[in-house]
Amino acid sequence: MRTIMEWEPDLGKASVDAFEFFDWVIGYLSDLGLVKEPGRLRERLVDREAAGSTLVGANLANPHAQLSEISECLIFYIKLCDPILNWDGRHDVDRILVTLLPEKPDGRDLVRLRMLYRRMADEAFMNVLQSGADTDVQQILLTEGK
Amino acid sequence: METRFKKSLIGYLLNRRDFVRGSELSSALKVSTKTISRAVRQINQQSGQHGLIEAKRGRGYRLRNPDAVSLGDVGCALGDANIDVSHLSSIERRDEIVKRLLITAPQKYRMSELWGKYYIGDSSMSTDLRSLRLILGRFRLSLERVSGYVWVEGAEADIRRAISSLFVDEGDLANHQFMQPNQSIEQRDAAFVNKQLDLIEELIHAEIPYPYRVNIFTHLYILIERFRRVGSLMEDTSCPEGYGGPEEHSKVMDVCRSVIDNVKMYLDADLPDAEIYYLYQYLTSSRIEGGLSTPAEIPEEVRSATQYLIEQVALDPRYRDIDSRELFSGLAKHMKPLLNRLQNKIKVNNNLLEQIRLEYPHLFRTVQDATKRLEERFGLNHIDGEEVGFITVYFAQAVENLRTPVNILLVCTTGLGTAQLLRSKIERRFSDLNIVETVAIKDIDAVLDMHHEIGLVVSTVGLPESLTMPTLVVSAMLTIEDQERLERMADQVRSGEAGR
Repeated sequence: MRTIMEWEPDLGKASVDAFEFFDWVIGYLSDLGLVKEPGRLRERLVDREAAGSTLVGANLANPHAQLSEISECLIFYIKLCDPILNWDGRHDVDRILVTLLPEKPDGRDLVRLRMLYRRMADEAFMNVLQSGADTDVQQILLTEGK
Repeated sequence: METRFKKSLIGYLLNRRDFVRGSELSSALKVSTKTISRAVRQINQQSGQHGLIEAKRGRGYRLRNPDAVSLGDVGCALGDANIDVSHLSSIERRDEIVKRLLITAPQKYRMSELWGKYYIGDSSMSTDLRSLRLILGRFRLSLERVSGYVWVEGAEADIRRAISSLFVDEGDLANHQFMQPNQSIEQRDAAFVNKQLDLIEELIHAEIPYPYRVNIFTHLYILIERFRRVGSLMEDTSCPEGYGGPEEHSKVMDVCRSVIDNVKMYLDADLPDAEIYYLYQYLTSSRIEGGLSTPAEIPEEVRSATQYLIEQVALDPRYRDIDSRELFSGLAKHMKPLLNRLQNKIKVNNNLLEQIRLEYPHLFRTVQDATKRLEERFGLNHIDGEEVGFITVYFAQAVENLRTPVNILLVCTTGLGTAQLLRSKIERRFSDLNIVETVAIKDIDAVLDMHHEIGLVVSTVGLPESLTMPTLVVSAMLTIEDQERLERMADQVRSGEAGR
């Protein structure tokens, strides 16, 4: 499982909406060679948002998708300078945890991922994801489930 | 004329051996002297040839044969229009006789004195004697019969326990109709005992709740009445086993000393130290919140017995899901004084027993069976129906807290992400929801085909319209609003009201 973190990256413009943010994420991952079909990933992420809010914390969203074009499990944590307003039509977010899974994920990755989500029910753990310093966030993302 | 007034009049005379002036009766019973003379005439007309009350000009009134008039006689005779007691059922007759024998025990009575007025044959009398022996045997008392005389023998504590168990009910106490026929003395005694109960509460900084207050009241009241009847016997009471033990100097023991000291002063008599211990037994057999012990002081025996009882009841599939931890904390506090009551053979009346039996018939029987096993396992004295009723209430509360678990299926896009988060949150907050599986939305149909027990699908994503069972879409945050919706939906599923 690959874990990536970006702390207040330059998104190319001062404020973005959720769709513009997806475009930035997909471009970022494509540049790293982690996404083969950017169009399908965008479609999945947008569909998921349409199916229901991915807000998991007060200012934390968790867009996620599972598709065959992804080669390995990926956790991508982004802390924004400026929040994305009305992420789900009601809430602003400035931290986003993108989770991508291949169609047939590795068993160990699945266990790690499950652990990560289970731990998110812990208030202290969620506080770090919602408002923690970069080192703290990195720490829990890298160690959780290992 | 009211029967109650006639009872009071005879009761007053019963406590006076010599003539009582009409003016004194008038003052004590708060009626005119004319009313007194009219009442005496009516009583004598009802009571046969010679009349119950002798009236002498210038001297007043007295009972013609006080020894032949028992309290039971007064109640029965005046409760009906006729003094003739031969109409009493055999049970009522035995009650009257045993009551008289107990209250004045070990006073000896000629058998003709006790049975003569009932006009029954020897065989009925023999049946009565057998029945009385059985009744008294329950309290470790014996009915002695020598040369035409009968009397009760046994320990003072057992005599009082028998009186309390057989003849005292809360209605009597509430109506001030208990034992003592002299109304003014009775009320004074009752007021004194109530004052002692208030003192106990003040000293232990806690309220003595129902039914324990009734029990302690009865104990002290019987102590006083027994002393009035057979005062000299009290000195013979030996210290019970265990008296003088380590708890002798405890706070509770100090409270008991204070109360018994007050009783001594009230009766102007010396009482044996055993009385302190008897009262101690009653106090430690009462569930008094915060007053006598802290929850941390639950002894190991109480813990084991409570745990065992819960386990035995939970053997019944209907009660296997009760929250035993929560039940334990409440029940253990009840079990501690209960075990003391069993050890000290103290009986507590349960006014709600019939209601409990009616409302929780199966649970009552289950608890009753479990208490039988508890008795055997821990070598306890018999746990009677009244106690089973009290215990049942604790289990009933636990059962009411128990809700039938609803089997749910958690769904998100992948079954690995937000559904897992939801799983953790639901597991922590909803003990009555059983999560069968966490699945990807595309796998719903297959999982539902495999798990027909699933009653509700909870999802963080919209669900297909084709689903024909109850569903609920919530946010992965499981907000308070989501939690309330989930609870409502689970209730609807339980009640069968939920639809798609």
